[in-house]
Formats: sequence, structure tokens, C-alpha cells
Amino acid sequence: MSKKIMVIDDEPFILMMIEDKFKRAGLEVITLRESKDALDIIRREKPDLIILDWMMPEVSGIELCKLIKEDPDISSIPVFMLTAKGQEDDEKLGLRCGVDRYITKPFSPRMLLEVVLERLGD
Amino acid sequence: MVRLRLVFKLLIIYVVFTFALLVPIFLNIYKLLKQEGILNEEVLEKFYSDIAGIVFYAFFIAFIISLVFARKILLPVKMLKDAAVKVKEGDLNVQVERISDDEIGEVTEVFNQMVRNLREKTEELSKKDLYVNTMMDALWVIDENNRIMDINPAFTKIFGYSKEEVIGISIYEFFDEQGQRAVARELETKWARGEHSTYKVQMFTKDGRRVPVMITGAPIMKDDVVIGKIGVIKDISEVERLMKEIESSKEHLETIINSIEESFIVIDRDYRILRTNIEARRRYGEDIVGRKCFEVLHFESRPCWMEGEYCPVHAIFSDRMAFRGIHQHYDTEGHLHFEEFVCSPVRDELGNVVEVIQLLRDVTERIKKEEELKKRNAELELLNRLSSILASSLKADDVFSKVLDHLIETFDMDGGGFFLLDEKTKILTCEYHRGISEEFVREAGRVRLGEDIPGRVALTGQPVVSYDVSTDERVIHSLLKYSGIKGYCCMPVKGKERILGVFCLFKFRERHFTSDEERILASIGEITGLALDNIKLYDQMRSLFEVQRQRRITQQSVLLKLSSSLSAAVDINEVIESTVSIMSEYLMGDAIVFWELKTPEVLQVRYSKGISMGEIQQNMDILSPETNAIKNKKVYFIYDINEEGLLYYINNEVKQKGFKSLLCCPVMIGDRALGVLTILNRMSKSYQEEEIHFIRTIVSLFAVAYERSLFYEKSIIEKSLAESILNSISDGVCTIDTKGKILSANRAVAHILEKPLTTIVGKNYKEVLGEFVDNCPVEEALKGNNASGEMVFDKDGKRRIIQVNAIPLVDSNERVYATVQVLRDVTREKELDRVKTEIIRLVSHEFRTPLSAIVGLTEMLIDGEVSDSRAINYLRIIYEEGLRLSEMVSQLLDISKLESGVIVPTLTPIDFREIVEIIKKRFAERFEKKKARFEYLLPDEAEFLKADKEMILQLLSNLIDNSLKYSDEGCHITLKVGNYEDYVIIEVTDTGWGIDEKDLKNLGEKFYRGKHGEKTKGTGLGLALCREIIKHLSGKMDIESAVGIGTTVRLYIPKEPYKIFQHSTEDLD
Repeated sequence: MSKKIMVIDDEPFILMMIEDKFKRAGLEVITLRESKDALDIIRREKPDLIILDWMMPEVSGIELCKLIKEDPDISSIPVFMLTAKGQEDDEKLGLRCGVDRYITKPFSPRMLLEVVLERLGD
Repeated sequence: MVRLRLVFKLLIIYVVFTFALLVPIFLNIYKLLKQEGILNEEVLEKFYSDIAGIVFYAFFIAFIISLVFARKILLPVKMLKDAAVKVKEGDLNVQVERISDDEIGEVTEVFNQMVRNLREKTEELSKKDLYVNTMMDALWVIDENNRIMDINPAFTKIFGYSKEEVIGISIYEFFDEQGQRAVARELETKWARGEHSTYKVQMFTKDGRRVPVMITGAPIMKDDVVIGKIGVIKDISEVERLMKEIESSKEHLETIINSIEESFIVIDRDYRILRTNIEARRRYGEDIVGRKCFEVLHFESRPCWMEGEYCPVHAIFSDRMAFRGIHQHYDTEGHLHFEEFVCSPVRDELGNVVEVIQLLRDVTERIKKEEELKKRNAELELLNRLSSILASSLKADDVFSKVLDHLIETFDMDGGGFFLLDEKTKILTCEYHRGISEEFVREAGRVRLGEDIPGRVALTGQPVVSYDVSTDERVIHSLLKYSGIKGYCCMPVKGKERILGVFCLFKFRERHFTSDEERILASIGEITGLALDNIKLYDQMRSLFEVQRQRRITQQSVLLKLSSSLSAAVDINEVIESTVSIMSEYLMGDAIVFWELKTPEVLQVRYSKGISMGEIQQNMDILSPETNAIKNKKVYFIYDINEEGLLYYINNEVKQKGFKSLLCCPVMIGDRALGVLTILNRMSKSYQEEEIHFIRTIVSLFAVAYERSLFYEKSIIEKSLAESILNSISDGVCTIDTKGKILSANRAVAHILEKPLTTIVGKNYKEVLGEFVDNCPVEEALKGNNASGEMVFDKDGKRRIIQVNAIPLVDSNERVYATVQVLRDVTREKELDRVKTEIIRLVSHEFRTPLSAIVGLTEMLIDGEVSDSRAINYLRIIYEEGLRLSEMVSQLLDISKLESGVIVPTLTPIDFREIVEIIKKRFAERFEKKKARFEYLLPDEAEFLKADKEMILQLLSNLIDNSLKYSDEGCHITLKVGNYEDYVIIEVTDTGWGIDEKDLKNLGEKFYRGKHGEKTKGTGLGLALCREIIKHLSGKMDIESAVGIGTTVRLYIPKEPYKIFQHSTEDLD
């Protein structure tokens, strides 16, 4: 059973990039452009890992992460935060909200895959 | 042993008794047996054994019984025996208990009694023994051969012989020849007859010393026979010694009594003289002993007290207390003597007075001297009193009247007067008088020197004293003769150098003046003379002093006047003028010139009054009174120019105008010379020390004022210089005092605070700053600490940040008296700062997104993991993101260019329709995606605005871009252009999310994102660019918005771009 990764980012090319890369590696990828219904979809799909972008309209990545971690059903799912916000305070805030890993843009898709696989391997 | 023997005795008795009893019995039994014929061997043996048994038994019983009985009987005996032994050994307290009630018991009783008697007797004897052994006096007992039988311990003590040594020795051994004879005599005569006697003799001690003793001997008689003698020997050496002492004391006493000056008399109760000493006999007669004291001492026939006189002897006999006093006594030649007596009682052992001892001393001399002293004291007192009267005041009127009164009282006169001599006229005038009528004063009150009694006395200095002047032959021509005056004296009043007058005292009765009184009156004359001298001197001094005082007052008022006018004067010229005018007023110099030391080499006339000198200079090289004054720092004056002036260079003007004398005073501040003041006089004038001193004082006041005004001028110049500097800098500088009042502020402050300077200076800073007071570090600075703070001004949408640095100003006591604030408009810097920060943020964020696309996608392409079709897509995205990046960079660059003023707008007439078309095309895709409706309303006119086309396009693009970005799907965007006379209004309205009131304020600031900043991707530069453009167009931008409804951005663009539309900065000066 291949692992399911969920990616939420309002930037289409990011989604595309990650999807292509991950699919090649044999992972199943679910992409979302809007964070609006993300929570329901997450509950439904129960992905093995979630990659979030911070800067999103309506519900920002960090809010979404908090909501995920508050829900006992899905709180165990690792959440990676993908964002251009790169300062220390932001990272701290992220980790405080339950983000499992913090990845700054620009990022290397190769590297992202590595860390995801690593995490899935645990 | 006793026991045994007695026991034996008893035993034997008992045994014998038993035998006596038994033997017959046994014999009988034997006979019986034999008779009966029973007696055979067997029976005999049995018999004998029975007998033996019985015998043993009997013996045994006997033994036991005797023991028991013995004990019983013998015990008391034993007890007696023990007691007797004890008694023998000396214990006489033994008493035996009576045990048995038989003879032995009785014996016990008797024994006890005997012991008791013995004890009593022994005690008695030992008591007697004790007496003998403890008596102090020696005691010996001698036999009929006068040999010692016994002595007591006292004997040993006194004479040193022990009992053994003297027993058997003849008593004569203890005496010398003389003693022996005496003893023998006594012994033979008295003792032999059985009488006892007492006699004195000397005995020898063991160590050869002689001891005087008194022996009392008595015979020991037995049946009228002297069997021995007993002698008590008393050591009388002590007694002898005391006797000797008493003798010698008596001798001493005798000697003392006879050697004293006083008469020593002992009187008994009958007033009889018992004893006298030599002196008493000498004074009162050799034969006074036995006579009555009142006869001898007072020549009375009865005791004095009976005559009513005081008698100390009687007093003592009645009161029993010692006494002293003085009484008078006429000696045999009739001279009066004063005698001091001391009477003391002599008491017996009961305390009664039995005799009186009277000591008398002749104190006549002393009394006389005392009288003399009293007299002298009275005199001195009088003189003292007069002296103090004379010293009490320096006014002649006060003094002489009092003196006169006192004299009249003391000498018991009826009147008197003081005549004072006038040196010039040689007339004596009666200045002060008492008891004389006015008429008489007129007649006799003026006397020529040498005439009449006062005149003669004044001339000669010899006093005149008369018992009765009316009859006195010495007085011949005198007005007094018939005036009724009798007792009279006239004494000269002598001053230090000459006779100042006379004083007279008179009485209407005769009066004898003793020599003492004459002497005193003469002294009085002298002291009044001295007093008069003093008074004159005092008067002289007073007038002198008065003159001086006046002068001082004048000087002081001049100085005061000068001082006050100088302190009011500020201008140098004023200072000089004031000084010179006051000087000339007082000193009455005819002209005054002030030379100023312009340089160390040159003196120049700065001011002159009374003479016109122009602006003549003097070189310090030349020798002139002025240069001298400065060089030597001394006042120079020339009495007569024509004479002394030849030595100096004197200005021609001075000489020509006829000035004869001058005075130069250097004007100095400490050691530094400022110039010279010259006073010129037409008359020759020499200056007194005091005047010169006064001039110097004035000049020094002047110097100070002069210096002060110099400083003042300098400070004015400096002050205006400082002001110019302050007003030219761009930072605001103001000073605030401890109460918060703004003391000063430069122009920049007004500019920064955008208020006129007049509304700032002099007001409290809290008023001026209004709501910004909290941020203002003034309070902190006033506490003494450097402080800084920031104030944010927001006016008409313009936000400015002012940095304030405050430092305290402390005076020499380290107390804060004000604070200096430096205000600096740091809006620009702050903005730049913010821009920097924002750029960094932007770069880190906005750029990273496109960059991550470029980098990420490129990576994937390089890895070859992408299909061709996908690859094209990737490349497109990379391209687009690259473009976006470059757009952002361009925007930034545009803004900065605009800001730095590099861009010069190209003005062309704007065709709005064209603009709209371009916009429609640009945003077509986005309108579609967002399902936005775009409407526009343009005026009919064609080209009505001249502006830079690119700018306008950019402006509108940005606004529409924003509207799209911040709206939901299906929004409306409307563009309205209005054409007015002077300006054009462009409105862009949308139905988007709206802008929060809070954000409204800051919109348009670069990179400001507002609430929506988190959610959307934008540069934040859009509106900022708009604002910048509008500024360049000299226009204005307004934003109206309501959250949830929409936003309208209104642009006002003037047609004449350089016409000032906004309100400019007011003229703040």
C-alpha cells in the first residue's frame, strides 16, 4: 500500500512540482489549492503525511496545522510546513503549533522527497 | 584479785559448810548401813561412788552459787573500788550508783558524799589558788627564817625567777644594802609583832634590773604565833614614771603661765584670787593673792555685777560657759587701758564650776589702731564716692552739683560753691553753688584772680580754713566777713598742669576743721581738678569726632550714589559719564579725563569733562603722570604743574587751559590696568591721605562697572552669534526650565512642531506638545539623567517621527536648573529603516516563492524526471515566475527612482479612452478568472489633462490590481474620471473586502500590507507607488473604505502640475 501524501498550497506550480516528484517515487499525492475544506478532506483521506504552505488565503497554514493537531483522529499525522517565511521566530511558532518539520522556500524537491521518505520510514 | 579472794573466801565458807553438813550425814548413813549389816563391799563401792557423785554435785552447786552470789555482792564493791581509783587519779566528779540496799549500799552513799565534799573543798582551794595565780602583783610567802616558801606566777613575771629557783632563798637576796635595811626594819618591827605594813623599796630582777616596788606584808599567825609572813609586792615603776611626768607637767605649766603676756588669775566662788602669774602680779600688784578680784581689777568694794556692771566671773559661775570680751581699766596712774579678757570655767568631776581662770591682755594699742583705721576708711569712702560721682558722667553740670551736695552733707555744712577760672580773663566765676542766694552770687560770684579768699586760694594754691571767718584775723578784706558765714573752708581745684578753680564750703555756725578733714578736702580738690581736665578733654574730642563723622557721611552718600548709578548703567559710556559727573560734583575738580588703555602700549582719551581732549593718545613709553600711575599702580598728584610739571610730559591742552594741579589715579582690576583717571584743578591743590583713599575707592567702583559693561558688550555679541548658529541648524534646540517652561527655542523647533515660535517660547512644554507629553524625555532629564524618546506626529495623514534627546544642565552645585532638548525629524530615517526591514522581509518572502518555483522546477528538469510535455509547462512557470520577480524589482526601482527624483515626468495630453483600453487588455484574463465586472465612466472631453502617460497607467493599473486582489469573486470595479476646472478626479471603486480603519492610516506606506497581508501575495508596493506618483503629479489621494462593503480610491490631479495644491508649510517665522 503506497503512502499517501497530502499537499496544500495555493501556488499551482508548487503542487505540480511536488506531485510529479513524489509520484515518480511511488507515493500517492493528493493536492489541494484551497485550505477551506482541507480539514474534512484530511479526515476523509487520512494521509500519511501532510505538507502545508503557510501563506494561504482564508485559513493559513499555521491555523490549519493547529486544527489538525487538535483533532485526535488526525493529530498523529506528521505535518510539514512549507513556506517562504524563514525567520527564527516563525520557526519557533511553527514548531509550537505542532509542525513536525519546517521547510523554507526555495527548496529542493529532491531534498523534500528524502525527508518525507525518511519520515514515512519511521 | 579482790574478786578472786572474796570468791575464794565464799567458796571456802561454802565448802566447809557443805562438808560440815555432809560429813555427819554420810557418817550417819555409813553407820546406819553398817548397823544394818548392809554394808559390804558392793554396797560400799556403790556408796562411795554415790558419795562421790553427791560430793561432786555439791561442789558444783557450791561453785555456781558462790559465783552468782559473788557477783551480786561484789558488783557494788567493784564499783566503789573503780570510783575510788578515779578519785585517786583526780576525777572528783565521780558518783557511784547505789545498787544494793545493804551496808554496801550505805557505804556507797557515804562514799558519794565524801567525794562531793572533797570536790567542793578542792574547788574552793583551786579558786583561791586562781586568785593568787592571776593577781597582777607578786606574792611571796616566807617562813619564820625569812626564806621563801612559795611565790605566785606574777612574781615570776615581774622578777623573772621561777618557783624552783627561789624556794628556800632568803628574801634579802633581792635587795641592795639600803633595801635590805629597810626590809629588815619592817620585818623586825612590824611583822614580828604581828602587824602588817606597807613600804617602798627597790628590788632586783633576775636580770639585774632595779624595780621600784611597794611591799605590803602581813604575818601568818597560828595560835598567836607567827609561823610565816606573806608579802604582796606591787611594781610601782609605772606609778613612779607617772609621778615624774606630772611633776614635769606642773613645771611646764608654771613656766607657761609665767611666760605669757596675759595676766593669769584664778578666782574661786567667793571672788577670791587663788593664783596669779608674774604678769598679773606685775600689773596689779604683788600681794593680790587672797584678795577679792573686784577689788584688785576694778577697785570696787562689791562684785561688779551687784553694781549693775557686767561680771564675767559671775556669768561663768552661773552659766558655766567660757567667755571673752573687752573692758576698760584705769591703771594706777590714771591712764585708760583696754583689756581683753578670756574667762574659762574649771569644773570638778560632777561638772560644777569650782574656779574661774581669767586671762587678761592689754589691747589698748590695738583699739587705738582700730579707731584710726575706721577713720581712714570713712575718709576713703568719701573720696571713693566722690570719685564715682565724678566718673559717672562727662558733663560738668551733672557732676559738680552732685559733688557739692555730697560734700555739704558729709561735712555738715550749710552751703558751698565751685569757682572755675577762665584762663584768658583770669576771672573766677561761681558756676555751681548751693545754699547761696542769687543776689549773693551776683555780688560775690565773680572774683578776680588774687582777690578775696577764692582769688588768693586760686592764685597760691594754698587752702584757707577758718573756724569763724567773721572773726578770723587772717581774713581782712572779704565779702564774706559780714555775710553771716562763720565756719568756712576754701580749697583749690588742681588740674594736671594748673589750678582750674576753687571750691568753698560754709556754715552759719562756727566749725572746727580737723587736720584730717583739711587733708581730705585738699584731696577732694585734686580729684575734682582731674575730673575737670577729663571733661574738657572729652569735649574737645567730641567736637573733633563730630567733624570727622560729617565727613564720613558725605563720603558714604557719594559712594552710594555712585554705586547705584553704576549698577543701573550698562552701556560703557553711561558708566564713564556717571562716574565722572559724580566725581566732579564732589571733588570739585575743574576737569576730569578718563584715559583708556587700549593696548598695552597706548593710552587713549576715552572721555573728558571740563576740558576738550578729543581722542589724544599717549604712548606708554613716555613719562607722564598717567603712565607713571599705571606703571607703579599708585596715585600721582602734582601740586603745581608749572614747577614739577617740567619733569613730566603734560598735555598741552592741560597747560594751555590754565590747570595748575592734577591727580592721576590708575583704574585697576586686581593687577590689571584698564586706564587712568586724571583730575585737574585750576588752583594748586594738595590732597590729604583720606581724600586720596576716597578717590581710589571711587575709581575701583568705576573699574568694576567698566569691566562689567565690557563683558556685557562681549556677551551680547556672543549671544547673537550663538543665536544665529542655533537658528541655522536643522535640528530643533530648545531649553526647558525645571518648571517645564520653554526658555528658548530655535527656528527648527517651530518647523518641526509646525507651530509658530511665539506659541512655543515661554509656554509650558506640556501645553505645546499636547498629547505627546508621555513620550517626551523632559522629566527624566530634569531629574538629572540624559534621556531620549520619540514622538510620532500624525497630521493630515502625514506621519512624522521626531527623535528627542534631552540632557540636563547643572549649575555649580550640581543641581539641575534646566534641560536642553535636541529634536530631530527622523521620519526619513525611520522610513528608510522600515524600508530596509521591509525589503529584507520582502526579499525573504515575496522573492522566495517565485525563486522556489524556479529552483525546484529546474532541479527536477535537470534530474530528467519530467516528461517533455510536463517539461514545457515547467519552463513556462519558471519563465512566469522569473517575470514576476523582475516586475517586483522594477516596481521597487521605480519607487526609489521616483523618490530620489531621478524620474522627470514627460507631460503629454492624456487620452483616457486609450488608457482604459490598455487596462482592459492587461487585466482581461484576471477579470475573467475573478469573474469581475469592470465599468468605466469618462467625461466627454478628450484630452483635458497633461501628465506622464506611463505614470497614469501605472497608477490606474495598481489601483485596479489592488481592487482585484482584495475582492472576492464576482466583484465590481468601477473607474470614474471627472473633469473640473482646475483638477481632474479619478475614482476607482470596488466591492471588495474593504479596509479596516486602522489600516487606512498606514496604507500607501511602502510594503504596508494591512490586515490582508497575511493572506494574499502582494508586494505591498502598489499603493506606495501610487502615492509617489500622485506626489509627483502634485495631486492628492483619498481612500474611503468600509469593511465588507468596498473601497473607493480618489485621486485629485491638478491640471497645472506645479500649482501648489496641498497647503504648504506656513511661514513659521
